[in-house]
Amino acid sequence: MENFTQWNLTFPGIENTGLRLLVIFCAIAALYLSWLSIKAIYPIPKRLLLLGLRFAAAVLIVILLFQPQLEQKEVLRLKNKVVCLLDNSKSMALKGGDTGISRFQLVNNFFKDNASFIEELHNNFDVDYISFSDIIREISYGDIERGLSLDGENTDIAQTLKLLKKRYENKPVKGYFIFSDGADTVELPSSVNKLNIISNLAKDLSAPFFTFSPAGNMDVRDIAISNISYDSFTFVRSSWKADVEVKVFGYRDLKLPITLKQGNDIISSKVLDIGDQGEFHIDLSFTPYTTGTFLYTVSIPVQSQEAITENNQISFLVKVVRDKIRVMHVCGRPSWDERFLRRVLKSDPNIDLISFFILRTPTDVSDARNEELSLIPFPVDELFTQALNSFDLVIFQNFDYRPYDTSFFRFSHYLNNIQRFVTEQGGGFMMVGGDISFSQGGYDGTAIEEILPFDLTAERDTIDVSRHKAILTNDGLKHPVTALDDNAERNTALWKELPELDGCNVTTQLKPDATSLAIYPVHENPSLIAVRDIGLGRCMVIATDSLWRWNFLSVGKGGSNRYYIKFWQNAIKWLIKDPTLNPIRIGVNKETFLPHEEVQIKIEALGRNYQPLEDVQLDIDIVNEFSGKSILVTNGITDHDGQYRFTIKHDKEGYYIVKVTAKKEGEEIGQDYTIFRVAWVNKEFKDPSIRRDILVVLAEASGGKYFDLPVKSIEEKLSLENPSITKLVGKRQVSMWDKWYIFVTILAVVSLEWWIRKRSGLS
Amino acid sequence: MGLYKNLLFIQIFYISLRSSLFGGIWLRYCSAACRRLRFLICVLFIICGFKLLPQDVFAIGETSKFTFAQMEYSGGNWNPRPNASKRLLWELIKRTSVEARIDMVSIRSDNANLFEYPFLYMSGDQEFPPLSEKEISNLKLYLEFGGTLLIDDGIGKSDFGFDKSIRREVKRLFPNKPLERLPIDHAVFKSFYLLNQAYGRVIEKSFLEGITIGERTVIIYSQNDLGGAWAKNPLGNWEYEVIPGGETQRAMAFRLGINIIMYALTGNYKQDQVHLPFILRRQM
Repeated sequence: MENFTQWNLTFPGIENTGLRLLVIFCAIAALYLSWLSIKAIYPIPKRLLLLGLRFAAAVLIVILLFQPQLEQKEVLRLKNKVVCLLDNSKSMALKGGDTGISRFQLVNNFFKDNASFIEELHNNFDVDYISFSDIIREISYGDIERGLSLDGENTDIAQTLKLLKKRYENKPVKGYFIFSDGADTVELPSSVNKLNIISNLAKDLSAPFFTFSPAGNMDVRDIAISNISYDSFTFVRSSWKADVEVKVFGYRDLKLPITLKQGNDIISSKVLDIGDQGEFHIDLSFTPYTTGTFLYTVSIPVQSQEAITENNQISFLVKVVRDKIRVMHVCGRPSWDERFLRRVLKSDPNIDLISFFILRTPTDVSDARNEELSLIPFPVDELFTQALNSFDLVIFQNFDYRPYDTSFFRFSHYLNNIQRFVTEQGGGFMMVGGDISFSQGGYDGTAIEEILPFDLTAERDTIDVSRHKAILTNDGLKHPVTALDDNAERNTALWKELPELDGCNVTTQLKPDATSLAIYPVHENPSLIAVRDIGLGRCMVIATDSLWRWNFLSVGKGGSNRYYIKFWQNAIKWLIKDPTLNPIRIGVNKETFLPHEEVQIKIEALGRNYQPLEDVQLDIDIVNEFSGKSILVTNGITDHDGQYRFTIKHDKEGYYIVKVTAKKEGEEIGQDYTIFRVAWVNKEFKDPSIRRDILVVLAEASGGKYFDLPVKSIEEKLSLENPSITKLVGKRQVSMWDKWYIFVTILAVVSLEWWIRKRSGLS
Repeated sequence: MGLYKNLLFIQIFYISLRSSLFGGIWLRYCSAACRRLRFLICVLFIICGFKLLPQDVFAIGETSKFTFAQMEYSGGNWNPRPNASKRLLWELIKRTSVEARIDMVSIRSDNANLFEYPFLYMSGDQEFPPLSEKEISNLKLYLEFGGTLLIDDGIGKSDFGFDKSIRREVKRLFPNKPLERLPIDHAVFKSFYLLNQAYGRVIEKSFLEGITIGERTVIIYSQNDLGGAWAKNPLGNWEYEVIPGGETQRAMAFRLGINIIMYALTGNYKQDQVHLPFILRRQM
């Protein structure tokens, strides 16, 4: 910048040029007329003297009219701007291919290799240095030499351009130099074209962009899970699918296993044959069998010389919820017990019921053609193979499978499927008694017997047809299945008031891990209602086909059928592991937290009556999902609201499981868990590719040029406009007409001319 | 189950006869007359066993089986076709998987045991006086909470005799719900057989009427004397001629009877989505 003085003469009296010319013309005309009147005057010197005086008077009058001013200006000469933008996002630290040089090192080298150009740039322009990621920050040239901190979590070029426009609007920017890998991390909807947005924003800035990015040999070697599209919640027993986008950089002809894990268990996997392609979409699917929030991880093994290992796996949470309770009800013969149970199931809007009743057995006589019957084939194969996993609960009610255990349909094979459905997939199974159920239905020695709470012995198991009331066992007094009332005493009284049942399948060999909830008070007190947790699922038996009496006969005796309905609701909830039956519930205020952010954890304890339970001792353990290491072990006691709240802060990224075990008076009453994540919001390593296309668009849209780094002798490859810019810093005006001597001179000239004419005897 | 129990009992008796009661020596030296006596005792015991033990104990729970309960009422004739139900139940057991008691049970609608039998048959061939308030209230409760009532007009004449009384009593049961014609796609017409009209000894009305609460038809009313078509005397002859369709119409009346019982036992099972394609294909 330099200062200089500038002088200007102005005529503010008459600013209009036409008027000025008119005044001058009038003055000349007046002189001419004057000349005509004096041209006959002799001697000539006198004539010329008069003409001279009149000319002088005319000039002075014109000057008076023009009001001349002398303007003195102090002016500052300015430099045009050039803005150097340096990408300081984390991806700039990536080393390229086999070069061993980071992307930012290439940028540094540019400044060294083109030092003279930079010096000249500094001489001729006002150069701003700015680092950018999703924010912009002013830096100095010295910062580049010293090494820029590459800590930007996201690269948002569009946002950077918007910030530049705001910062340099109406400023003489003659060029932008951008040094970046172009790895913009902003995810836009597929309908929005990012390149168009960047192109339009670049045009708005009205200055050329000279873009520089690392050359082809700087591409990293990496295999990245760049994106996963999935539903963060799904329905239990419904297929869940994730679309995994994998990008491969610098590798070819590899076979990569890609796995989906729940915890440490692989639940789905595929092998990816990468050939020479760079981008893949893989569908991974699985069917969840239990409700809750679970952490899933998609991973690809790390290959040799991979630039980024963090992007080889992605973890995410999926909430598995229940849509409707899908119940398969298979009934060996129509009966009142079946009728009343079906009515309960059908009237529950939360239950999706599929019923199959055996209306005719192979031994029944047929008097009609098939077309005259409404009977449909029993779709055993479809039900017990393909569709089985779509159910939450299977009920066999007085059903003898043996007539269907033919050479064509091996029903015993389907019994194995049901066993796996319960033990491996967490399904529920219930067997309701009758004359063709349990041993009488041929289930002894089958896969079904293995999951039942009883051991079956065909020779020993009998049927008792005497009428008795069911009697709760000690376990039954506390169990959610048999809790017909919240109050334990009232519950016991209710069971005593229920009508008598009309017989029982006598099966006395209860398995050690099974629980008998009610007995039938005949010889050896056989279990009437028994439950068992088996594998991932649950099994329950009701060893009678006269439970319907609790419904209809209760009404007939002036009571209500609501306890019958309540019993079945309880049974179904227990069998399907309904989360509402869990007396301990743990919750976190959100799913993902930044390091050091406060995590608020709330634990609620409910009693058997589902009311808040006070003074429950809680053993809390927070562990890292992958390492299994505890980060906090603590205890708590619920308050009068049955709640215990606490907060933690943690600095290390990862997924953490909060496990709680609740005890009341030394006895465990329940457990629950939840998961939260601690993570920086960092998308930089999801896709490590160099996006030259973005930088090319930026350059072309703005009239600039794209360059591959390294580049030398840049001065030969680009030119910048550098028009002069000045700035007025001071001004002074000197009036040249409103002076007394001007007026005196005019007066003197006119007076002299008048005096000469008078002396000469002229008019 | 009853048969098994009897045989078991006989076996125990026979073993005890051979061993402790009579002793091995006695048997060894027993004369042919004694052996005949022993055989006679066994036969007698078998007969006694069958006679002494309850006939109906052959399935778990007595009331778990289908029982044809017929409603008694004062005045009129509550049982004009005493042999009808047995024949229908015989056909029911023969043709379907339903376990049923052959013998009919008669019960008044004010009896506390009415709720032991969720299916109730009411028949008559003449006018009868109004049911008592207790009978009406108990019957109403019965129907609302799961019972099914089949009313069979043994005369088969509209606005006459039994029909007149029935419509009066139904109005007392459900003042706001008149008897309505059951559509042909009602589950009662496809619960076992596929039928397209109502049948009976006569065809007074080719349709059934009924009262439906929610999705369940609690009263089914036939004016075609179903019982007349079912009734067979102990000698094995049909008691009534079936007109106008003859034996085909009788066969259809049995099918309708079985369908009504199936409907009582399975409700709208045949309306489930899984059955529809099959049924529609067969009805085309």
